[in-house]
Amino acid sequence: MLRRIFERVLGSIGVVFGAVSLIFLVLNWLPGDLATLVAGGDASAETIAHVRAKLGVEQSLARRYCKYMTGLAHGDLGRSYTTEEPVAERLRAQLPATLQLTLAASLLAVALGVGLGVLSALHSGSWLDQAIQAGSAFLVSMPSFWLGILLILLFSVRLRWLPVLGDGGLAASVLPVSCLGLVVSVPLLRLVRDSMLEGLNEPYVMTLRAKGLGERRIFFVHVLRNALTSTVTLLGVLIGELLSGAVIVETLFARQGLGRTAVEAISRKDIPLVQGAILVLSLAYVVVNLLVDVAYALIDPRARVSAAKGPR
Amino acid sequence: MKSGVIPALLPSIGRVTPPPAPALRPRLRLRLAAVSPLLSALVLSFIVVCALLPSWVARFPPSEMRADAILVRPGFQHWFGTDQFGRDVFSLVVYGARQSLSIGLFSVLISSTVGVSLGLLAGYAGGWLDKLLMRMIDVWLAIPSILLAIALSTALGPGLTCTVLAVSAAAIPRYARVLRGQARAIANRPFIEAARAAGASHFSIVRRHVLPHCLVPILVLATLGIGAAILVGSGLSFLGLGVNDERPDWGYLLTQGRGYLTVAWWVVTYPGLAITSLVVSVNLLGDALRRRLDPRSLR
Repeated sequence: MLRRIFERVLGSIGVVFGAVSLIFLVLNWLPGDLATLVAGGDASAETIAHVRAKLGVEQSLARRYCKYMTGLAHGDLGRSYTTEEPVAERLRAQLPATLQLTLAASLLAVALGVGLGVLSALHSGSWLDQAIQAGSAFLVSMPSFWLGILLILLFSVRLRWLPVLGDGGLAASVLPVSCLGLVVSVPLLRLVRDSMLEGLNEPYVMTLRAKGLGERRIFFVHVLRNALTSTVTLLGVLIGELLSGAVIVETLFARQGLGRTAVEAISRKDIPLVQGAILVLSLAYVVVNLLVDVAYALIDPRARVSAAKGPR
Repeated sequence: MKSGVIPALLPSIGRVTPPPAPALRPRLRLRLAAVSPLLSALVLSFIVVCALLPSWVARFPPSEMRADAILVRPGFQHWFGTDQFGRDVFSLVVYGARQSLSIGLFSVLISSTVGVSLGLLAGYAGGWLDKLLMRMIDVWLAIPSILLAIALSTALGPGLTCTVLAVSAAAIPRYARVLRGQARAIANRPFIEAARAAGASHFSIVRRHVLPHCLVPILVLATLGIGAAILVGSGLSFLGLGVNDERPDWGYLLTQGRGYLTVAWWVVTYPGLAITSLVVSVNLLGDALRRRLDPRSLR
């Protein structure tokens, strides 16, 4: 068990390393002269030469890569091209906003997903179930920014209940959190519903009925518990959607955060900042997936046994 | 099968609680399942007509600006209203169908081809190649897909082709993952060994024996992938990285209207509605396909 966790941790470090390298390659392979872009279109040749020297873009790709990686090993993410502040500091300032958004949204998603999924499975085939199914089919097919825009149109423009944009306090967070939470809740809802319906067909349910246990108790205690076990594995996938969604939602609602920082940095070709933001986001993805794997092994005895027998 | 035996024994036990919901489920589900593919096919064929022959459907040229009709409400003359330049939103949406549909179709074509090849290679070859490829896929998956698409489309520049490439690159790992598992399971079956013993080359085994067994998951993944690709593509347009002003796709139209949210709801609502109805139809067709083809879900 410990050995397996150790191996997974090592593997995850490798994955983060690979992800950083991949992003470095993609971004440093930008067409056009970077120095001209950063200095601005109407800069003089002198300024451009100066900027070029400062950015070190005339060095070879391999050299820049080595330099970046050594910096990274020392916890140095480089300096922003545009504002010249250290990237690490900038990202640290943005991190809490993204954390708040994604945490609140995932709480909402879990509440909605599990709640409606159970409701849907409990009344499967009824109009309620069909309505929930139809709603989730639409929700999963909407661009998340359009959902956000519709929420703004309804609650801010028409009803005037909530402010449209900004970071100011709780009221301004309601729409972004609901937008992101709604988007992420759909896969969760479907998995909970499907695995509950599947669980109801398992032989152990028959045994429980034969024992004389009430339907309610079978449903909520035994089947739900088994269904939630498989839901845990989905959380690893959901974190990816949550982070992707955060990029869009932060941009749409003009909120602080890593996603918006990344998008703005891309439009200004501020490569160190983009790299840093993507590094933090994929680090989050990898760490959460690692935790999910470990948690799953702890929750599900079957995974523990198969882990003892050998690699999956 | 199990439930077939036990109920026969139950009456002798005496007290029986009939399972409440499952008895009702199949009939109602069948009804929903029967109607939705038909509706989706209708919506989809209308969108395809718009994409192929926009001038037949649209009532105005999409780029015609009219200074006397700026931000007109939807009505008899302009079904979806007009935008901030006095362009007819209905015509813009009709002409945008081709862009959005192309992004979906072409990027699925590219990503499924590459992803399927990688997956088959890894699953069939096994060993170090499998390990190496799967590690690559892990790295690929660790970067949230929209961020990877953003980074790629920054590197590639704007335009339809680059958007298609960026969107498909982000979707490749999903195909590779699933196909690898399938190929792995099939590669260990006896008939593969038999084919090998009969002297078939690795390439022809993969092409003639492994690939046909994987067609169902490929088809289902690809259908559902079209919707996902359209959503990512419109997300890129929203962030200002996708298709440009010359031939706006639906995502771009939506973004354009964002500045007029408070005064003109129709400019943002209809392009979004178009994206959603396209993606819903494709997804429902994909679900229907999966139900039809996947024996597991028929239980």
